[in-house]
Amino acid sequence: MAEGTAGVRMGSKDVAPELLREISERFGDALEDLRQTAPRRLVARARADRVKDVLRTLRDDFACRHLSAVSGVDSGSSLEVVYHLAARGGTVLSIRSALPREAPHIPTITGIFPAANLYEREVHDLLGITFEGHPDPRPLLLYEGWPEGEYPLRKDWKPTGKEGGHAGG
Amino acid sequence: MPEVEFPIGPQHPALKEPVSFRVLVDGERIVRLDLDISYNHRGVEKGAEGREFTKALYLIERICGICSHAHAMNFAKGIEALMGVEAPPRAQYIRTLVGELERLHSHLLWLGVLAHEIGYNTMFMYTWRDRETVMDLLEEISGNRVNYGMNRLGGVRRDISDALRARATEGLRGLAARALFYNQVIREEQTLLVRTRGVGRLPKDRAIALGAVGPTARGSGVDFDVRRDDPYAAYGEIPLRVMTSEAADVFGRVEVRVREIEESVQIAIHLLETLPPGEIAAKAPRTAPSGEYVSRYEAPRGELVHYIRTNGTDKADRVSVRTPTLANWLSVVEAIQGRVIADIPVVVAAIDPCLSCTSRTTFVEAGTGDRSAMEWDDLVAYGIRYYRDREGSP
Repeated sequence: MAEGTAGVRMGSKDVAPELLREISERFGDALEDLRQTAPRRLVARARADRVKDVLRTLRDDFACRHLSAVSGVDSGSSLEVVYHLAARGGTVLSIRSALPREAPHIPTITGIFPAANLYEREVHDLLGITFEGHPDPRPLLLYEGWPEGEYPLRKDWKPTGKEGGHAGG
Repeated sequence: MPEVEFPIGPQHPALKEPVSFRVLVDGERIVRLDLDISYNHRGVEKGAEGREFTKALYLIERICGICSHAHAMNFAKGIEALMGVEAPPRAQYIRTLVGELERLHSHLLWLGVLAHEIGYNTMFMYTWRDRETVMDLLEEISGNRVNYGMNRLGGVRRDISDALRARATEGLRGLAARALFYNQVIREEQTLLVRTRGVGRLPKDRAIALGAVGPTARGSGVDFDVRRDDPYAAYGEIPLRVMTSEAADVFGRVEVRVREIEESVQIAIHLLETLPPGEIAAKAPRTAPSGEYVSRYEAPRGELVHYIRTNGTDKADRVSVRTPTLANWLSVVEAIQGRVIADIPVVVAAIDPCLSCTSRTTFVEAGTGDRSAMEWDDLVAYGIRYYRDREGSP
């Protein structure tokens, strides 16, 4: 009978500060503005063309093997992709990459984290960010009659036509 | 034999997680499974951006009918972290208690659904009866059977009286005995073992690569539980055993959940016995300063993520929600490959997406485009028949 581990572990110390130091030494300027925002929470910025290398190194050398989520955000001046990685000691490392509104493209990370497959499709549907090289870039979340080029989570998006009648209720 | 594609679903839109599967088969063998989850996008994230935190809390709670507390509490603790407010200890314990009761009702419901999918309806009746004990407790504590509305920013809405504590502890002790019984049954009952052992294999390294969470991941030996690894509320102060199984198949996912039923009962009893005195809510300001926070929660189906950005007002700039089921779909796609049509219900049910309702299945003959429709119930019946013919009647 296969039985798993059943360890009791009480609240442990926050390893985020030491992780921050290690990551900062390793990456130098490839990761900008690396800082701790809360217990067990680190954030940083990376350029779109460096994201893949950064994430691969974090996976292989910092044991960030679980991709918790990929979020898309409209920050006004740009569109952002935020990759949330589970690091050791319950730390979440959020790497964000800002993309120009007029051409929001970023390479897919599905080759490094297969888990990103559906997350990237979701971000594309809702914010219109293109993930270059995605193996299966079909629409995922919005219904089949949803008009192309309408990205509802952009701040300047307004419901129009028939859909508008149902929105805002 | 030519390859045939057939879609399953989408099922009734009133139920959560409507999904349509397109299954490419070669005879009985499944070559590829493709999924379509586009049937019920409700725009909750967009809706949350335009509403004050106090109103968004109620909207977020309605993302899921089974784990509504998971969403509400995860959002509340995220906003509290950004505001710099901490709920008092008594509120943290009550939140945790409702969370564990929610896990119990969800796991018991799931065990019944899985039993039903394999034609083991005795188990279905047992678990759903026991679930009523939990539902009654949730109703007594919160006033509601679903969408408990227990959370407010800064704490909880209702206290637990000493009389209720005593009644709840008594009900939970009864459940503890039932949990031991289930743990024994799943190891001995052939009906269950034949349909789950070796079915829906998901090796540990694949579970990690595909981003599986919760019992789906732990059933493949992935030792990850947000309650222990990134503790919140009362977790970190109370004993908690993380359940994993090395079976890496549907049985592993069953084993993990049944042992989690046992463990959640013990946690809930512990919380009731050690409930700290004091206030149940701290005063929360109306606005939150600019910031961002990744709020994580171990929902019954696994790690739930809310990524929240605030901008100094009383509304969130962005609430990005990653539900456990979205994280687990890729594992279903992989685990079903190479299995037979008869295994679809049980492999799909094993990640607990609540796909147990009436659903239309259409078979499409490749080349000719001929369609034949099949109900989800018929597919379940087909699975039961398939294994009965193969294994023989006991």
